[in-house]
Amino acid sequence: MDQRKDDGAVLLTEQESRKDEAQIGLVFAIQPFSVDDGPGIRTAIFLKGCDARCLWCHNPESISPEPQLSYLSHKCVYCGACAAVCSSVHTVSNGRHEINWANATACEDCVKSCPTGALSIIGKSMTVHEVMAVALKDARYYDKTGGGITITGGEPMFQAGFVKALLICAKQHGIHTAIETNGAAPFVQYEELLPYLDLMLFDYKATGGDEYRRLTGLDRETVLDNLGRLRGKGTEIILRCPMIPRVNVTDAHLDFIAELTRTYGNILGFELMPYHALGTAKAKQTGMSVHRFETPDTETVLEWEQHILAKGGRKWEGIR
Amino acid sequence: MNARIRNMRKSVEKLNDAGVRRTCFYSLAYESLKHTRTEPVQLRRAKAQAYLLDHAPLAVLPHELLVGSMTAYCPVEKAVPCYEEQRGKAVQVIEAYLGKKHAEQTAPSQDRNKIKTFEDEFTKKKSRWALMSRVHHDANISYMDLQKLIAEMQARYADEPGLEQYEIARELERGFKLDYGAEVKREIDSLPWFAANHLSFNYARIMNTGFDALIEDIAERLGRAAGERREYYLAAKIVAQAAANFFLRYEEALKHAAKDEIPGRKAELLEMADICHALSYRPAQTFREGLQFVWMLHIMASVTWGSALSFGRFDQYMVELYDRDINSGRLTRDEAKELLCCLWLKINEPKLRTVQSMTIGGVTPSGEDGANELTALLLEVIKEMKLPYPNVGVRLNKKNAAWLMDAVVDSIKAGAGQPMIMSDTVWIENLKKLGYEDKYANDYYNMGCVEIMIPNKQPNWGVTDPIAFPMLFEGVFEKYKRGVYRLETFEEFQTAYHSELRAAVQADKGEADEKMRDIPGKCFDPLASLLIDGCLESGRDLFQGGSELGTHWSFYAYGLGTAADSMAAVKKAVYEEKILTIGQLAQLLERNFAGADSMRAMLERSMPHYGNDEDEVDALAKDILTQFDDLVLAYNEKERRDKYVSTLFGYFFHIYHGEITGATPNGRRKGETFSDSMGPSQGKDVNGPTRMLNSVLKLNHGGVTGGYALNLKINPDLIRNQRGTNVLKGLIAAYLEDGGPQLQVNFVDAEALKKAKLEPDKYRDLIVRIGGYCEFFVNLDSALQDEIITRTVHGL
Repeated sequence: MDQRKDDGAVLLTEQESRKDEAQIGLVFAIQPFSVDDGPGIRTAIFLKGCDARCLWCHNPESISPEPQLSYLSHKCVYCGACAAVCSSVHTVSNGRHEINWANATACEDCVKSCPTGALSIIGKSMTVHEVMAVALKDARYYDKTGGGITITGGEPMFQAGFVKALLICAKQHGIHTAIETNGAAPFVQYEELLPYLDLMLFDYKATGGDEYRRLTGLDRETVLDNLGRLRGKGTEIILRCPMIPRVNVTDAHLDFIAELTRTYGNILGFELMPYHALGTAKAKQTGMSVHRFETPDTETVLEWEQHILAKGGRKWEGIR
Repeated sequence: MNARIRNMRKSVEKLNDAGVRRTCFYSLAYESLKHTRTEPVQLRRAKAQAYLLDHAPLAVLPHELLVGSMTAYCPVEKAVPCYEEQRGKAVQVIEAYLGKKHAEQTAPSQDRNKIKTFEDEFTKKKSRWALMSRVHHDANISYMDLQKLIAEMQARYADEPGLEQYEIARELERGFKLDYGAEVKREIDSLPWFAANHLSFNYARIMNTGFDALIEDIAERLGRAAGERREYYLAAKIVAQAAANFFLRYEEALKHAAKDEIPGRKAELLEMADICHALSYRPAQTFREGLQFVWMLHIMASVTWGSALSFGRFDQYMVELYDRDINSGRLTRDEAKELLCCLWLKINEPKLRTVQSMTIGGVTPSGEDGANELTALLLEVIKEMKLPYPNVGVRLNKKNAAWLMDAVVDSIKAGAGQPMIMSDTVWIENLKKLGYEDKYANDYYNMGCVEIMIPNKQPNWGVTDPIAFPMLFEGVFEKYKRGVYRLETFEEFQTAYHSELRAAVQADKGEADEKMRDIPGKCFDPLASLLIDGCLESGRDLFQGGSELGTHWSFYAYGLGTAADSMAAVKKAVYEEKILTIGQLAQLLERNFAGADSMRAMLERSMPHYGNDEDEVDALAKDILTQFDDLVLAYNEKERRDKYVSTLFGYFFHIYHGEITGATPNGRRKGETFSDSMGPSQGKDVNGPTRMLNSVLKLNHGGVTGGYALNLKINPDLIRNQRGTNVLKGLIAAYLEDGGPQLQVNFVDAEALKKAKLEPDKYRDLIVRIGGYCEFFVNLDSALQDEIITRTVHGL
């Protein structure tokens, strides 16, 4: 820990960093060529674990802070190799593969037996060095497009120490940094990150305190309080707003998005995230189920945007 | 796009849809050749070319401002049998083939002592060749009907033992020929007819001096010449006069067409007639005259049966006339654009054979920024016209101003796959390695698809049998079974592969040298020899050493993705993880994985794939490419004019070579497509475009000298709006900066392609990049369509 007094900590050797818990995180995906998570070409780093319970969650496999089993039926050739090593979870017969999710763990035995990659474990322990090695693969494109890394999830603040270590390391490599957060973590945790953070993708999910809690499980006051304090710090923010027709989209909500992006000088603009149903398929892979909502059409989304813009709101256009 | 261009576009579409076309070439050439049998070959050709130019039927088409067309020369064939009749013929073709096949099994035939035709060349490996309608010459069946018949016959003969599906397609492609008469064919083949093709002509030279000056120059040189040179100048005089006369013939045709026209169009036609008259003797004095001159010579070369003729560095040789007209106020930018749009549509008229290319941007021969006002205008035309031809390559050089990249990305985003991008850094350096001086290397262009040549100065691009990297595994395993290779370690396996590669390259070298020996005294093209630098000066035909520079003999190779994946699968599954032995793998491949689904699935899915920025498999890809380049480069001798070049480009060979190749270690089944050109295996680059490009950038591109094709597939959704422009520009800039040689971007989404396959009529305008060239999706064979759909689905 002594070595973390300065930023040199990230130059720990692989072995040393393994010892430091903050240097290890549970990552469920690293997505290169992310072009919708901040400016330029970015690598999105998805961390596992989330304190929110948004009804429309599009990454349900990210919620649990533990590794978990995943099954992709289209890759399955029904060979039964998994059932042979673990019959309490897998039953394969006549072109059907049943999984007893209640018994499923992340022990990996069945995954190792699977010849096609239909079975996998979601969530992998990785060191800062390992994550950075992946992110650095695309460094040549960051320079050319104003891109960098975006740490998202899940809720990255669930692994705040790891996030900080990652950000420090990225800055040492001169990489533009961003995190995407639900905004509900204690402010002191955000404050710790600010010296190494270039941009925040800050979620704003509903207008009305009860609504916020009912739909997301989060406290709206905390979110707004954090937003206010970040304004004081001058942190650059893109306001990300999930839009679920007939669920969180109200005139009051659109008005408030306009209000925030109009009055907060540090907010670069809003970005509407229209609901899509990918989360339902992903939930199925992990034996979960999430509610399916209505997917808005392009015209509807444009109308929402127009509404916000008419009220003086500012839109984030994707480039600085 | 103004009304004229819209109307002209419709009319060109109609011409392309009009049906099967017969050519007048054979009968007209024969008319001349039958009277000259006792004369020297060079003069026979000159006289026949002159005869073609003097007698080719001419066409003046509606709306056009530039005249000259192949449509009357290749009229629509009236006597095409109905589909029912063709089905009967198809059965006959297949039955006859089966009969011949059985007979040949007992007594194989020998037939090698002739210069091979295009089709012979393309079918040496028993494969098909007509996967696109533009290449499918001289059939008495429409391309769509042929595709339908192939599908029908494949179903009908599905259970015929010893008859593969590709054989059915191939035989039907060859079986439906227009009949030009046995005697006519014999005369043409015995010469044999040999037209300059796969090269670019120096149209600008005569454009800037005029035919009178040229003919005078020839006469003066003829007066001084003796011996063989005298024969060249005699031939040159014959064709130069015929070429000048060809303009006068069009003058007459235009005046004739003007007679019955309404006043506005009448004036246009008469103006065009005046231009043709002037160009028959004097240089072009305006941009419009220049365009007419270039186009007319292009048509003349096509009438004498040239193919894959490139426009070379069009923005370089046309900019002087353009600037002069714009600066003097004689021409507005919009008028120039309209003329260029006319040219674009003319290039898409039927029977301009195979891919016609054009190059823009880059640097001048002296190394200065060569991008100009005309370059910018051309990019606008490309963007608005969205046509497959010309196949435009833009050269990007560090010296080019920033606007060029902006305009290029803008045009690419329009979605027609044009222009493709070439890196000056790579190509100029690599041409210098071949021994070229700066002024030549700086002047390179893309011929046909992606082939790198030096404009105006070289004979035909020299073609040898393309090497499919994945096909070489067949040799490795076959020799393993015979005990030639032991393959006890991965190093032994890799060495065995290298041996097969060396043998394939040696075979190509032998083929190139054999072709070289066939040329002296036999191959002449007097018209083309007016248009290639050095011939007039030396008094020699371009094929007889007259050209300023020698030939590039191309060693094509492609399929790196499938090959690298196969190599990685062997390394990991056999030698590292020992999941199966090499003997077991050999058996699996021989059985085409029969009864081994999960093993095949493991080989396909659980092994590393090229195109994902994974070091180990990328290193195997690098090794294959480096081996190949080194083998080819080593044949070159500085002092020799002719060069051997490595061309990493597969055209559409990946489909038809795939059809005839057995299973490969990457889990690819017998008959399935190989990866295209330098791309990863279809659908296996699952980590997006940056990672795919990262894999490519690990290869050593310092020895690639002939050409290169890499497709970048991007979901159009990802690069919409300004944000997308920034992203796309960044991808291209990073790729070029870190040593990428060539790139073409494809945006079509899979849904559109699937619909286009089902309802071709609704998607006639859909253009896809295939591998170095563009084509209308609906004009492709269904195997190629499926391949593109697969590639696109996975590319997203």
